[in-house]
Amino acid sequence: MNDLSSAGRILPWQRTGVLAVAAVLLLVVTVARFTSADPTMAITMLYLLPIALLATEFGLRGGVLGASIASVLVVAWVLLLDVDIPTGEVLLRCVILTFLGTSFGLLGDRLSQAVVDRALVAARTGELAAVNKELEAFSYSVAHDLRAPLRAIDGYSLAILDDYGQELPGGAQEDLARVRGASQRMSTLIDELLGLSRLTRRELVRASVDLSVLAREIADELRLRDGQRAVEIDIQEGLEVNGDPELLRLVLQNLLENAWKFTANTKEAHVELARIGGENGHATFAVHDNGVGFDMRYAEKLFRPFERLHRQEEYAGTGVGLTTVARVLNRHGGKIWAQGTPGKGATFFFDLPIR
Amino acid sequence: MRDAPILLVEDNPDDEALTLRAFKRSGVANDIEVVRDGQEALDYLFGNDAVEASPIPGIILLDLKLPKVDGLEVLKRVRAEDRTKLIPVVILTSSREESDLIDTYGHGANSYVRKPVDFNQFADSVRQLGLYWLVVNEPPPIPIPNSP
Repeated sequence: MNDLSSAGRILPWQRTGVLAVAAVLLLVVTVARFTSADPTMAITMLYLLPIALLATEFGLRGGVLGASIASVLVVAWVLLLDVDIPTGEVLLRCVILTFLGTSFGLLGDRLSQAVVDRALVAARTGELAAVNKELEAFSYSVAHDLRAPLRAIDGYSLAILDDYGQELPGGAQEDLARVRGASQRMSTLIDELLGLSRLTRRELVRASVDLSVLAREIADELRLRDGQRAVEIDIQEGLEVNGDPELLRLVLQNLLENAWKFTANTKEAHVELARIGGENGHATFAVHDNGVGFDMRYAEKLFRPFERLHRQEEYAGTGVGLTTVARVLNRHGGKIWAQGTPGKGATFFFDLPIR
Repeated sequence: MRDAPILLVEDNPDDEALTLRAFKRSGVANDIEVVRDGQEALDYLFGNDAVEASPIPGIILLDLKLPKVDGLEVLKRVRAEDRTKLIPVVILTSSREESDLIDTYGHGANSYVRKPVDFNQFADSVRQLGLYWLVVNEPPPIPIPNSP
């Protein structure tokens, strides 16, 4: 935060420098314009330099103040030294000085604001890059360091089972199996957590994507992986959107895998992907299943990381899938929401830009 | 090659014991030399003021996050020296961060294995690794010392 406030403060030399250059340029032009005809005009215009400096320091107020003082000085100079200039001309010079002083003041305000803005943007960008870097270092360390102890927990539990299994009572063997199960689950959680954070940092690669093709591939994989299940999967043809093909595959994979998983106890399992509408360059899609469904009271929880609506023994999972989906859609400028009825099924709606 | 030692560069004693156990279980009979940080690995391979360089190992199993000199630095040195540049190097580490994969393959790693948490899988990886690099794979010819 300290960096930010100091970056926001413009240094006096920056401000003065910028406007002094502007003033000198204007002065040179003015002097060149008027010297030949009337040398006293050039002397008048010399007042612009202090006015410009005042304007850079104090903005509009400085410019006006400087112009007023300069006007008084011009009048005093004409009166006291008895320079031969018509009164109309003196007034004109005062008006010119006031006009230019005000302009300088406004310019000063604008420029200093621009300098502040730019400094702020630079500071924020720097800060963001630093945070990102820290995050990367953090997840790197998580990936390397958190897994090592887990490996030891699993490995030595198995070592005990291998070496002393015969001597251990049955209960102890079961306990060790639980220890191993837990360490492996934690390893999965770490991997998913890392995947989630990588997802947020990853750059989007946009292309035209046919969701129907992706969905069919995923459905085939599911059928191959789990051959005993008979799930009817209907996929509407030609569902084209614009987005990152790899990330959108992740979206469909999670949604279809969920539909597959949560229809495990349904007699005639049926899953459907279709476009249901859209406007303003977006299209809305729905993945519907007739599985276990959910209570709308918990709908909020669905998209939060590591939140689950089912116990591990009922339906396996880590609670990261829908969070991943929501993040991917979010990054595409789309969103996701869900409707469900316990025992009847669930529908996940998501919208995405078409172009 | 079949009796050249395996050099294991591993700083975590738990992982060291597990890797040795996995090798034992997989029936790999080669000697396994263990060094516990990057500097020790370099001293082992190239020697220092106090010790002579050890015989060339048949394979180097290299962890990446190491005290003193990290794994990538060790890999770079191994690839830079004539004496060691042909030794197969297998990265054996915890993560599969993309940057690690790119860096190590980029500097000439021969293989990259992520240590699984499940010891059965880990032992299986080690068994396959030993089988492949020490038996199936035809090793590079060992350079004759002091030849140009």
